[in-house]
Amino acid sequence: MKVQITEYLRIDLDSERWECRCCGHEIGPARELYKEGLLVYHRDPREIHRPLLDPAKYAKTFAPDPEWCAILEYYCPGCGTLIEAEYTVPGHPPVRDLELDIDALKAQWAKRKEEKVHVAAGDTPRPVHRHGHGHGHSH
Amino acid sequence: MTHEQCTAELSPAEKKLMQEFLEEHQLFFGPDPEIMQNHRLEPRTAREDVAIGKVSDPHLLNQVRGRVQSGMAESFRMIEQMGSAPGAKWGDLVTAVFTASGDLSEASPIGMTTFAAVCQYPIKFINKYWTNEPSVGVREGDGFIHNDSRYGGVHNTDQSMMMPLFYDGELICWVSSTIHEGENGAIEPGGMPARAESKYDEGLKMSPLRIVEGYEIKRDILTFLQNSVRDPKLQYEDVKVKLFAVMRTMERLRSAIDEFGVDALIAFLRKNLEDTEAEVRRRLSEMPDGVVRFPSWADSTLREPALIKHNCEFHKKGDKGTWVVKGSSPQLSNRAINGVIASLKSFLLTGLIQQIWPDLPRNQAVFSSFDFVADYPSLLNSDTDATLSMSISSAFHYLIKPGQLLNKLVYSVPLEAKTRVTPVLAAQYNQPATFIYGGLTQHMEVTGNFCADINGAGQGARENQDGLHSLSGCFSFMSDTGEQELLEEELPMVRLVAQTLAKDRMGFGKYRGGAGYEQMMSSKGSAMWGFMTGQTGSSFSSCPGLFGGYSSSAYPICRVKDINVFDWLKESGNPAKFPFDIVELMNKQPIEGGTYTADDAGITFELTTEGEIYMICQGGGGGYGDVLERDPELVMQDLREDLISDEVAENLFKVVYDKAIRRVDVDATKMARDTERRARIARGTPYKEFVKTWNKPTPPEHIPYYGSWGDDGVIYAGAGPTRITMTSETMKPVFLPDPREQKIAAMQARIAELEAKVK
Amino acid sequence: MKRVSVDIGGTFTDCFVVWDDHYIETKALTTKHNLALGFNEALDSACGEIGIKRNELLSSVDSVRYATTLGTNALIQLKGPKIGLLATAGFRGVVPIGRGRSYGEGHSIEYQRNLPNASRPQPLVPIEMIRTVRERLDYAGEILLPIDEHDVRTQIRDLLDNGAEAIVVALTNSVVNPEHELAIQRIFLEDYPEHMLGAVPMLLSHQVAGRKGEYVRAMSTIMDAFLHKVMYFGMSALERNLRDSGYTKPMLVVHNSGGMAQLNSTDALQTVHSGPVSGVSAAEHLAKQAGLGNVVATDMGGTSYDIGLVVEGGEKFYDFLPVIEHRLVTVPMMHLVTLGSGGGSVASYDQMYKTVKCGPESAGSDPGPACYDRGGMKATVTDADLLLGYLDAENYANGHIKLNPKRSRQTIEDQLCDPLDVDLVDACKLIKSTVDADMANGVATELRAFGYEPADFTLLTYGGNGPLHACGIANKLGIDKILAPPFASVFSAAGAGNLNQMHIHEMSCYMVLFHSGTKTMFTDYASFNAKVEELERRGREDLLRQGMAPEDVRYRLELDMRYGNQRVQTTVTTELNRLNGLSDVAKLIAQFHRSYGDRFGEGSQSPAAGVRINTIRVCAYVELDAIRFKDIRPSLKTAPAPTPVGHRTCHFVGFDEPQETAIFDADALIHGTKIAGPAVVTTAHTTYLVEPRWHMEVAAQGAVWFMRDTAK
Repeated sequence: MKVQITEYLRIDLDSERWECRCCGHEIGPARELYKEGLLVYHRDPREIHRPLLDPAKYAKTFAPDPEWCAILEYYCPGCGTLIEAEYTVPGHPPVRDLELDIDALKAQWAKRKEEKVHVAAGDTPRPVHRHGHGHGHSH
Repeated sequence: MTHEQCTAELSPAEKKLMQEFLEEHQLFFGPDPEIMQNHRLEPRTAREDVAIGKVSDPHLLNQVRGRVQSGMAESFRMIEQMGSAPGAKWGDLVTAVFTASGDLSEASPIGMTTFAAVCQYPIKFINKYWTNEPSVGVREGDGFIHNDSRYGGVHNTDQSMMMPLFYDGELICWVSSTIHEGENGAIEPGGMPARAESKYDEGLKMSPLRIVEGYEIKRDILTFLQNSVRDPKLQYEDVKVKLFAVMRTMERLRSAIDEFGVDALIAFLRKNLEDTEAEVRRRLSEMPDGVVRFPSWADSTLREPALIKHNCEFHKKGDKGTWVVKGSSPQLSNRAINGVIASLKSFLLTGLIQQIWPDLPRNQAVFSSFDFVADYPSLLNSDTDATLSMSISSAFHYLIKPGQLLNKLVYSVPLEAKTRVTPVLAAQYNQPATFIYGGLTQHMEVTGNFCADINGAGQGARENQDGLHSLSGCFSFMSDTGEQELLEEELPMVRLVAQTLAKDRMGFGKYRGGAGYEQMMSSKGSAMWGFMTGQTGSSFSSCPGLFGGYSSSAYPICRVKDINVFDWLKESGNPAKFPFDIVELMNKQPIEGGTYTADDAGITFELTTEGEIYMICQGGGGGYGDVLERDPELVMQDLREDLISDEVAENLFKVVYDKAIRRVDVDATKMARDTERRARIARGTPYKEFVKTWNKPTPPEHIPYYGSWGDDGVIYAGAGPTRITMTSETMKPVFLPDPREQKIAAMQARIAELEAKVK
Repeated sequence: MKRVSVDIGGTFTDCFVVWDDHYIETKALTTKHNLALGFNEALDSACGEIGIKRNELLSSVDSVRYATTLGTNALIQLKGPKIGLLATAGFRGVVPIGRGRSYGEGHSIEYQRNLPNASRPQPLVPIEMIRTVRERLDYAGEILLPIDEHDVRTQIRDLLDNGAEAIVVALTNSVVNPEHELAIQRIFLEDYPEHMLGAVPMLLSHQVAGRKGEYVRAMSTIMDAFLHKVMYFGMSALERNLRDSGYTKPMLVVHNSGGMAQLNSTDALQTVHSGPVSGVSAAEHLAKQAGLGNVVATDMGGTSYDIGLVVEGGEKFYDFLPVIEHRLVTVPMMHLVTLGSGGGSVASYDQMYKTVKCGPESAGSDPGPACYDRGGMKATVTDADLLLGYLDAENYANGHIKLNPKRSRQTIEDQLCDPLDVDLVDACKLIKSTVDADMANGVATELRAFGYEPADFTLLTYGGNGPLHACGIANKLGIDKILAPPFASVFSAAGAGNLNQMHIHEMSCYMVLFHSGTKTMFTDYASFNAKVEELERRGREDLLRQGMAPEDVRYRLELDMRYGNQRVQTTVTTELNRLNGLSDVAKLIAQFHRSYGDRFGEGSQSPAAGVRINTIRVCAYVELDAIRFKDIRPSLKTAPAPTPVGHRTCHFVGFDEPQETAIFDADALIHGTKIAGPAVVTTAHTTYLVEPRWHMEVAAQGAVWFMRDTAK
């Protein structure tokens, strides 16, 4: 049985592995931090939030200061999906943001049916635009 | 020798004697840590047991609930209509009812949850200290006022009126109303001074005190309060407003007693809490067990740049949840951004209700179900000497923590479990981006307060759609950004840009965050006027995305000083040259002779002359999911709406399209996105390898850094050689030097250096 | 008197004809493609009852009056032209942002609180159709930035190039100084003379609303432009139809202000919600004529419960910032509150409190309650009403809908009985008592917010589900008297027959009657009087244009006043039409003091903080002959006791045992009939439920009273 943990991550309870929901890539052991099975890239925040004010005229430009703020991008090694974008201070150890008790999870799901699709909670379902990018979404 | 050391050597009889002596001869009834640290429900009283024994039919209690809610809706509407403070007009207010022991049982259906959640503390203080104090007492018709957040409260700009409801001589419950009043006589006008260096700079500091007797306001006390603030009119009007709103609620509660009996009301107030707590625990038990963590950093103290860590973890096991904020910044005693823990808890409660469980009732039980761990003294668990007047600047970080943390736990819960009740979403913009103003109006009235823009934060992107633009304050719903025409009529301010959605500044992702708006503010028609702000996040993005979504931008404050734009606009040729756009105005600098600056968005109060331009941005929400998954048609729509630029569409979203007609080339876009995915794989480094070079043992030397680094138990404070290192156990308050004195010292050193050269 | 009044609703076209002593109520299905057809059908059946031809009737009546939901429907279906908006430079985001809160206007609290799931209504002007022009006025109307004509031309052209079918101009502070809005209109007409472009109208915000508030004024103007065409075509078709049928007088259109005007003097926005507003007007008229005292008018249908307020002494309740179809606008509209409770309200299990919750979800009419057997799978109020024995499964809605109690039983057992652990009847009683309590709380909040006590009111009840729940609601409110009014099935149409021709004009102002800082009183009487005169002039011209005689024009002056800087919207209707000295100012302040104290509590007034006038409003009207209702007091006549057509076992809230209940049909309802509760009377349009300890009495013209047995 597979449990959809986030937009891009799921756990296979039988194999106890993290998996990418986009391409099915096996990321790593579910009892460890999922990040350990991903690729990391240090992004200069100015590449995402480009300076709108002229950097020659102003120190503050609407872009984060790269000496103060870094973006760690975590990619799925299988399909290159951006699974997390962590804003942190340069040099700060990545945060262990999600650690689940797998035995408890198994016990919980022993009583539940596997969910194949994720449906957002809410009273007004909206059309979801889906334009595949050829990586065989298996949400 | 401390009191504890002293009493350790005494015999039990001596200890008792000592205790009695102290109780009888208390110097000062300060904030009581026993009350302030305890967010739990008070134990069920014998009286409540009796009432619940008599009335336990849930359907009858539900009818009582309907009556109480109707009464609260009515009194809320009254305040909204009668209130004089801008906050009251925009919905920054609440009415609430508490059990006799002081637990918040029900707040008005709309309005600020946070206010009500903190009002229980002063009520518990009154119960504990004033009820049996012969010189005070608690009687029918008494009304207590309070604003010092050390006794419970968010900040000292909020004033509460609290009254006991008696029935047949018995105290049945407490009723309150709270308004964000604004002006309170602090060192800077408007009630939220960032320049305050100690609590004595914060203005009015009312411990819970009786201002109403026999339903009449005591004029001597009101006069004292009026005398202590810049806007005596506001103080006069709103004390009345709060009093009459509370009296109206009490009237309704009395009629509920007449209809259902006094036991029904007592039983309802208590059961309401117990039922809520049970439901919260049920929902927790449906979530996976585990630990989620989300640290964030503020980048200024509102006085100087600094990286201030707001650490937060959530531990979930069974039906228990624990919030852990250890490893956050130490207390910065002489900066305004500290807070008391009771207030921090209410912010987390508010965030939980705003983002995860909006269907829960707004009462104390939502939070009493949780445990809480924090260092002491620390920035948000400060001692009673810390300065608190701009606590919201820090506390707003915690408004979005429940969303950032719990979304990672609720996403997987099946819908049938009725624990995931609303879409999962990224953070709403979480800084108080607004102008606080003060001075003399065109109608010759002295005033100080803040603008409703604080209610215009962009919403975070959601798992199924984009976030809404400028939706609300991240602390409330159905709040109102107001009408510019009405503001200009009363205050000497003109906004050349009032609301223009800020392009390229929301969080990007598969779904994008809602935009915030730009504004350009000038004063006009006043002999004395000034502004301050309380926003941080100019170097480090404040508002995070979720599941691969990016944060929104960093936002500075931009100023054009030493000009009068209104005079300039009168000169022929100039009107056509004025850009109604912050970026263009700042880059082109069309007004000659102006001093153009872009600084940390938080500034302390400064006087302005007519026609100088102050510019801030209401922030955008965080993004959700991978940018490469965004529907290219939605990217085109954003271009048509001028929400993003071609650079963002092409470089970030990797959409290939015909710029003239904005038609997507589907195949080329697919190719561009595939290429980018491959490029990501190529440039990414395996985690274990990456951290070897990335992780540094301490914070960068040159950055003033406050909080833990890798290990939550080790806390850093400061920069360079003066940086100190503490542990959780040895945490001490930190004092920062006055930035103006530092500046003067630097200038003096420079002068000396130059003088030496000349010689 | 001979008069026709019509209420064209979404489903039915109601017609009320007064033909001397005859009062005829008829109904036909609304024909959406051509409203005239439904109207003719309804009118023809009235003609049939009188025994004359349509032409004969229409050439003899003094007026034909229309209330219509055309506008409401157009807004719901978003059928309207593509609108371009011109706003002041720097104000481009004002309409899309909608003061932040536009996502939740007119929605339930549950929806408003659920921010993560919030969405804003589909915009009437999409962001890409908003342009700004370089100009700016300050709050006093002084020009900060002169209008840039070149820029105006460019922006207009751009909007037209992008397909604008109507242009709205909403400039900041234009109500203080309309110069720039007028300049844009002039430029527009120069470049695009009407004969060239005919089809693209331009609307100026200062001409639609007189109050400050750039968002609400822009929204009002946009809505007006959005509805303009559909209203114009719909109503013109009706007018032509009237002409063809021999009616030569002007057709009158009911306004949501509670007045009416000729079609050519009507803004489209003024017609939205005119149907429900007519109902409140009818209640007002009835209350006055029959001496009912305070009345709370309630209309309970399938999805909503409308509450209107009529108090003795004629004080008018307006909303100056009403929410129309989830959009906040500024137009003086008769105060009306709508709760989302009706027969279709879904009853569900409240997990937290282990009880029943009704609404806010509604099954509406499609699929409708489970018992409609159209696929509705949720338990509703109507299902409970059916199982409690109140409804006649065979004759519901005049026999149009056959009810299936099996479905009701199934859903209620599944969704409520199991989790609540109660039997079917108890679950149904819980539903009935919960929905009654919800509506009672809504009424109570409403009355008390204005300073009134429900027990001092007569509950007026109409709408399909009104008379069925009235006793239950009154029980919770402590009200002893309920009136199902005469002509209840066409009550809004009947109300349209009683309106005056009226126009309201208002103006924002900043007038300090008492300045707390300088301790001075207002002395600039001339400027105040000039403003009042200007507003009177506008109203007078409206009426004269429609052929009214100048000597018949009356004025009512209303002032919105506040203490200090409050937001309060306390309206003071003053007998003074001019200010001529300090004593007049003092009178105004005293009058304000009284009404404020009545509403918020004596002692809550704060004159020491200063007293200000924010809005001056003049209602200019001509009093027209009203339809006379007969004396509808109870016990004026006795009739022999009617014979029940049968008996059913019914269950009532507050009674553990089932009650053997007499069933009557509509024939029982003749003037003088008295029926003791418990009883059920089934009529074509509704069901009268007389709960135990109540009795009913039929008065003149089909009015029905429900009286509490123990009442004084």
